[in-house]
Amino acid sequence: MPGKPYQSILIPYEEEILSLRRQRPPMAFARIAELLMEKHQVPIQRAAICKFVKLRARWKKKETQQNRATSKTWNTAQSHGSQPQSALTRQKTGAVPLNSAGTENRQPWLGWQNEKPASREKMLTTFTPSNEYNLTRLTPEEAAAYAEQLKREREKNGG
Amino acid sequence: MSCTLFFTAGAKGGSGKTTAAKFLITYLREHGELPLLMDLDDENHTLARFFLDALQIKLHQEFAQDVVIEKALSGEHRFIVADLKAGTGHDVLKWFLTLPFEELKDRGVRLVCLGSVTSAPDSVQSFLNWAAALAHHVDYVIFRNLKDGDNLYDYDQTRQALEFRGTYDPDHVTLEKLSPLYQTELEIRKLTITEVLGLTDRTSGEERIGPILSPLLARARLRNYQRGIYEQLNQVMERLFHAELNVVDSLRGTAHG
Repeated sequence: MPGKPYQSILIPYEEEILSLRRQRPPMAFARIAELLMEKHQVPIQRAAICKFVKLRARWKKKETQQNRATSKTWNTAQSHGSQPQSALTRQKTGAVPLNSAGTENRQPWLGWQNEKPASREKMLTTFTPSNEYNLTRLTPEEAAAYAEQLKREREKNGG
Repeated sequence: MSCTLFFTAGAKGGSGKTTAAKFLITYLREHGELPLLMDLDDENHTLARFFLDALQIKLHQEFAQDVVIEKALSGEHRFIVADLKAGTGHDVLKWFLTLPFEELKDRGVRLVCLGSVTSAPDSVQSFLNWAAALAHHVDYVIFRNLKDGDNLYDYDQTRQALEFRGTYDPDHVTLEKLSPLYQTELEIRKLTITEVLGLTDRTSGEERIGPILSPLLARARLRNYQRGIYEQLNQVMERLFHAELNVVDSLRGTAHG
């Protein structure tokens, strides 16, 4: 009969260890080992703490990647009204689905919004800041008509 | 004294941001102004290579913003030209957005964004990212850089670019294509067109300019090229500073003087 699965004795102290590593400069693993011994009487070697921290960092990275892939496919599926396409399938096909306007569906970059002052408004209504090309090309006639329309709107608004 | 801070914007490298800044600097200098130059491109330091007096600021150094703000508020300089780096991602934009726009405006600092667009779609996209974030906090001067072709399709015929133009009514300066031979020679010798035209001393001048830029016809071509840009910059300055008569008069007076 198999015994109890292996669990690190450091689990109860995970938050404490990670916070010590997060501070700048991070505390050395050897020093953390000493602290654990002094504070909690946990006999542990520095290499074990190193492995413990690195493994959790890897898990966290994996989890973030999975979450990102899930939200991306969910967004795509939403606009198409279909079931979410798995990240793996998307990787294999390599195709980026198109939306109704015929442009590629990509994740908009919205980082700038976090830094905007409270008074700032989004003025470009059809433009989504992004790392990818997401502009809508028009024919010369359409462009002229749209420019005229914008001009009329501006005059109407007293701009 | 009020201060105008011109800064280059856009994440696309090689679109002509520094070239635009260079023309603006030589234009201002030829009109008797002494703009403070800031090179915030801590990777290439392109501006500092051409202008040795440019202040080199490392973008990610602590208190880098403080230097920019202090200089703008010091009242020592009527014009500041800051050349920001391109680079990937939006780190430069994020850095720039930490500047207190409203407070600077209240203290008489005006911000003018120098964009540069080419026929490369990325140049327009990356510039619009900046415009979407900066919105009405700055004025815009767009350099239409024709180095890769005359058709700037993405700036002239996309819905979003038209919207930008309709909303912010930017000024435009067209940078015609300069012969790659001259362009390369200017880059290699770290010379601006103004310097080439100014080095008339045949003994030391020609040595520095080199055989390609020395001939009379080459200089004439460069002079015409630069004149075309300066004429457009005259109009831009008139529009930007139409309310500040002293600035316009100063620029105009020196131009005709």
